[in-house]
Amino acid sequence: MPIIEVRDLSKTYTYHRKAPGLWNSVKSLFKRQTLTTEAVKRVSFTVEAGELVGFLGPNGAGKTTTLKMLAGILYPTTGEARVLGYVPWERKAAYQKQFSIVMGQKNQLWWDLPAMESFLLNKEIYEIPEPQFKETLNELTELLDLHEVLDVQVRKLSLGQRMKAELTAALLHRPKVLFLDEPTIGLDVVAQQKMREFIKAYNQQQKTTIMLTSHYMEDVAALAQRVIIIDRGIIFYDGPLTGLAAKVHEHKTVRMTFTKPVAATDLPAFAHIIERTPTTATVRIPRKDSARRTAEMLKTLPIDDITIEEEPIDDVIRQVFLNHAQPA
Amino acid sequence: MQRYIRLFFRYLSTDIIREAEFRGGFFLLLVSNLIEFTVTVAFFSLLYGSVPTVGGWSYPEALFLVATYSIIGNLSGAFFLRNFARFSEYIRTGLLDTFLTKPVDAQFAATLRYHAISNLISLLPSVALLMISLHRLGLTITVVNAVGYVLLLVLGLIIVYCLWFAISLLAFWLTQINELQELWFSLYDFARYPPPIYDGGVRILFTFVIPVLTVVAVPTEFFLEHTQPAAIGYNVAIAATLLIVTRLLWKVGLRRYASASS
Ligand SMILES: Nc1ncnc2c1ncn2[C@@H]1O[C@H](COP(=O)(O)OP(=O)(O)OP(=O)(O)O)[C@@H](O)[C@H]1O
Ligand SMILES: [Mg+2]
Repeated sequence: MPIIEVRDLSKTYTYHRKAPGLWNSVKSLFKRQTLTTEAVKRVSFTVEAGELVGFLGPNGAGKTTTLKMLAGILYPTTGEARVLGYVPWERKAAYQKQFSIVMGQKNQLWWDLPAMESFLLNKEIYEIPEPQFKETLNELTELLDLHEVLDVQVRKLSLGQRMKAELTAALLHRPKVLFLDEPTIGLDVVAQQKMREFIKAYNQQQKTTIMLTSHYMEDVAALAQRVIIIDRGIIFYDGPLTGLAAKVHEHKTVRMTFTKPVAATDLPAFAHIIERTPTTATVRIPRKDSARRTAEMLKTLPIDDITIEEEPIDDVIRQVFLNHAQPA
Repeated sequence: MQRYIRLFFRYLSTDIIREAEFRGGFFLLLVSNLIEFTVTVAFFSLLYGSVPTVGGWSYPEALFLVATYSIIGNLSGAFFLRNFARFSEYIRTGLLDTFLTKPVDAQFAATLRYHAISNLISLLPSVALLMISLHRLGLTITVVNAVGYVLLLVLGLIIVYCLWFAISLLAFWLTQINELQELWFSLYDFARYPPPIYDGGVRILFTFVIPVLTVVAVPTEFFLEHTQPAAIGYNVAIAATLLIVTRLLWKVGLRRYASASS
């Protein structure tokens, strides 16, 4: 049975344009301009236990909105969702004890207090038994290298340290489902890498189901086997990362080194030349029949070495967004 | 229930840690509370310098009322102020999210999370004034009086919580305003004076529609032995009704809550 089931989920924000101030607010109660944004439109997907799904899309695509509905923060306009069998926006304590949401741009830790105080508060809130609390905290501080900063006020921590502390707070109750909204935002390359390694290891060890959004392609390439791509509230790809390349790119890139000089005219007509010197060539060949065509080149050309490459994943995704951004 | 009491004390303890950190702010608040208190008392002694009674209340009776007003004011300042002061910000900035995803009642967490401990210290002058007025009245403290008074104070605090919460809840509908707190303070000010000084309309408004007058007057009158059971019953009914109504408003508000982008 899937852990997360979403069917035809939609969210339309209704908001009002209004001027600041008490009087204008009161006035706006009676007469105001109503604006709407369809942030999420009839989205459906399921996630199985233990999966780590990358949830991608350009700014304003509806990722955060979807995660907020799954976390029970927002009521959907229409549609259904179940996580661990619960309707998220009913906010049952039994559900809330089994998931966590971490938003990279919002802190849950108490700003003026040492991180440890927030952890102790969570222990109380989630009713975590003392031995389990100790064990989990030790494990997490070990994995995240957090020992020295436990007793420092959160506002004095670096962004990287703070994100680690946020993550620790979110994992103390050993959630079965974890929503991570841009957990690596603003971190330096090294810290990003560390965070990524942690998330990957945690997912593998604990079998936690994770949905993660990020604008960093490295995150996605390193972490998620499966991606869901959303744009303007609509899902237009759901599947393995590798399949995405096939969907978007009709070509593969072939790099060759020759044993003796080869003229441009000697290269087959189906090979679109990207770069060429007398003894090397990089060409693009149609994905279709690529095996047969490569064999043909191996036969006709004096090839010393050959590599066939997929497009780099961030190029692929960029391509997806670009294609999609063009008016239909 | 037990869990909520434990949580409440954990919140309280984190605030003691926090206030110890910001000693400057702590003393500033204490001093400003004391000044405000002194001004109120001075005003009453001036007023009674020219008239023997106000609305049938003698000077020491009015002092008892002021002391009660100030005790409830300081207690609600200690336990409610810092929460309601943030409430519209929670909604505007989406900070409410944090409370909505945790397995603790979100109303409890959002409205009883923060405390201003220094307000508890300003209880001392209020209690001293209470004693002085009792001495002047020649009244002694009996068990019935004391217990009844404390229970009615708690009841008053519940009503204050609800009224203040109801005002703060307006933030779900009027997001861009910060003046809501001022609105509460000016309402509560009406409870500082003996109710008879207000004439018809105002008195009805603040007894039945926005019942701030009874909050302070009922415990005071109980202690001074002027109270009819009807007034106590009225406050109990008001407190129960307001708890239910604000709970419903909170639920309706949450349905409107749109968090904040990002
Ligand atoms: N509280 C809100 N009120 C009104 N509109 C909102 C609100 N939150 C989001 N929106 C709008 O809904 C759409 C989706 O926003 P959302 O935050 O879900 O996007 P996102 O995919 O998370 O984007 P990003 O990558 O920038 O975080 C956007 O057009 C946004 O402006
Ligand atoms: Mg977002």
